[in-house]
Amino acid sequence: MTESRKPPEPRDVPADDRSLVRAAQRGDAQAFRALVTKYQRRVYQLALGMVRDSDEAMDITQETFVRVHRYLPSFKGDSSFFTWTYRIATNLSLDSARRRGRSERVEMDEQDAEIESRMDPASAALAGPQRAALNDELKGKIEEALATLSENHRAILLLREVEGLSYEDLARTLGIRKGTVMSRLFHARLKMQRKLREYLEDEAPFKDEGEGEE
Amino acid sequence: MNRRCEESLPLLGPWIDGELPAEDRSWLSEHVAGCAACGTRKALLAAQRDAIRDSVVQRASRADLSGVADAVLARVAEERPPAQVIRLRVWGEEMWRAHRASISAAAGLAVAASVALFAVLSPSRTEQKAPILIADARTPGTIVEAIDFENHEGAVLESGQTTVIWVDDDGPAVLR
Repeated sequence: MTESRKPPEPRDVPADDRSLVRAAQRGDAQAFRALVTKYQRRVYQLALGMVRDSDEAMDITQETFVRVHRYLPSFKGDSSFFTWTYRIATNLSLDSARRRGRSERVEMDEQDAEIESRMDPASAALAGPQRAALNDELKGKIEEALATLSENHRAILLLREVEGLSYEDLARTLGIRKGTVMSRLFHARLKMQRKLREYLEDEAPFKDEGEGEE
Repeated sequence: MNRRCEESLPLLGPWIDGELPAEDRSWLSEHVAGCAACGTRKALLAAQRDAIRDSVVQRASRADLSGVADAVLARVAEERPPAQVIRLRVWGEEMWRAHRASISAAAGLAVAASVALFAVLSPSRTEQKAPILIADARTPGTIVEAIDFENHEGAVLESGQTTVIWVDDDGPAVLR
């Protein structure tokens, strides 16, 4: 069994962030532009994963950096700039996803049922970890499965699996305790795995130990 | 699933995340090496992580973000405070960061000096709070006399300069 590649480590990045942040705090527009350019893709990724709509994700990305600029004078550097920015982006994405969630709840329930119905046990024999190699069908399934998670589960999964935040940064970004990070991540992965079991394994590797939100 | 597998289950995620405490790593790694089911579970968690990441990153990579910085800068320009305000704020923060200890010490000294000055210059509380003495029953020549005001009892004090009358609302006056 081989270890899969590690996610990018955000704490490795901000060596020169401090000087850019200081310059931006002094009103240097070019320094602020450099920060936006550096992190816009990752903020957009998070927003897109959360709201699944490219236009809305773009709006969230812009709004995130507008707020970063607004609150930059009060940024003391206690956490990394990256984590701080992510916290703003996560809150905006959660708000937006919740608003959308309320209007799409019925639709999501129908999608959920459809996904479940497509999980034909007969096709499971062909499945296995080797099928994790990304293809369009799996990609579509992942998007659908992510959409069926609660906003809290989706956020923690994206921040960990896509952005590679440490548990400490997850706790700080989401405003929860580290113990809650571990249990929430566990349940989010479990739910995701149930949705993807057809593609990842012939039998659910995790039995249904619990359905809790945390 | 045996007991060891059940114990392993919640730790597989932290393991692939590099967040597992060292004391758990050795027994878990030993267990997973000898347990095909847990080995598969761990591999699946990693496969799922990679699949999610690739899916999201791939989808996001199609977006053209070249206009984001310009759009953001255009919006912040509308709400930017005047340059002088920014300079003043930054100067204040820089001064605070650079001379925090000296500023704190000076402020402490100033507060202490103000308190001391106040204590020295303000009139003493006993002087300020002392009741105004209009008559003293102990003064020689002063007469205190119980008086019956029909429905109320009372007393009258007469010193050569002042007359003071007490009227008791509730009961008989007691003079000592």
